[in-house]
Amino acid sequence: MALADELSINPDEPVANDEVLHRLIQPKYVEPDNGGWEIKSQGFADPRGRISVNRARLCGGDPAYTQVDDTDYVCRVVAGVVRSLTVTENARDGTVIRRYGVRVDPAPLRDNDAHAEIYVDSEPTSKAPFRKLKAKLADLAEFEEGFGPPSRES
Amino acid sequence: MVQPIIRPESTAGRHFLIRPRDTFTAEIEVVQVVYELLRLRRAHANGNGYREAVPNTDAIKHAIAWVKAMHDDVLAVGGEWFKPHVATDEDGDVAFEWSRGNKRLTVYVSPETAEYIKVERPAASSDLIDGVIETSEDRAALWRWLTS
Repeated sequence: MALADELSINPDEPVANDEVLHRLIQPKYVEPDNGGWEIKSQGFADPRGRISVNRARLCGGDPAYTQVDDTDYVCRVVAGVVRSLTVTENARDGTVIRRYGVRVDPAPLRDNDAHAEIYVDSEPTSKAPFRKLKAKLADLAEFEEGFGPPSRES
Repeated sequence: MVQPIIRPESTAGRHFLIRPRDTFTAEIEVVQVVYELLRLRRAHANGNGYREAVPNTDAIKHAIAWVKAMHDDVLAVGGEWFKPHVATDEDGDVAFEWSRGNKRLTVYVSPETAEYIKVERPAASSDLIDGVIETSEDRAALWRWLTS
């Protein structure tokens, strides 16, 4: 039985602003930085421009649900904070041509009720808005306790 | 800048130019970056179970030439070069990412173009700057921004 069924949650139910979202980050996208760790932008890359995440409340709040391999890290972002982001398309002189919002929508899969997607709304015509979304998410995301790289504090 | 050391004549009667330590280290790092790029191409051929684009071999070729040019341009203006994180993006193009302090510079290299995103943290509330990199001056200007 799918976990959503067990929890009596409709996986198509809109993602609430206070929901925690889990994102798998492969270790190759994490490097030491200023005494801590930095997630690189390409940890949020997606060939369809739709960043896959899992809704923590639909997977028992367990970051391990999101791992593909035991060595994968798992980070968290909060849906409402993600929705507050905007990304821009600029002219060559830096002036903003258009500003886009960011959407967080449920996208349950056959084998994963908890699946959701983060993406730039209105389908931008250039690559810059999605690249900026990746950069902003990399800056926002925090590792879940026990699912990040080892502490660098000695 | 560290001055090169000229060794006096060797027993073979030739002069040897010893490169400054910092330039030599930077050259080694460029070689490491090129190795990373070649490794990317091989690694994906094996598949890995994650949803990732196939690396674009023409983008990798362009990225090898581009990063060597970036290295040379940085040294030409007296900068201290350090190596980037190397990855591919969702289109299979190369993504170089440098971090220094609260600044991050990401350069996307396709078969034909090199484009950048500049980030000053915290990034969430600011409009990020992007653009196209076309000349040595563009590369040098980005490096000055990153390291200032």
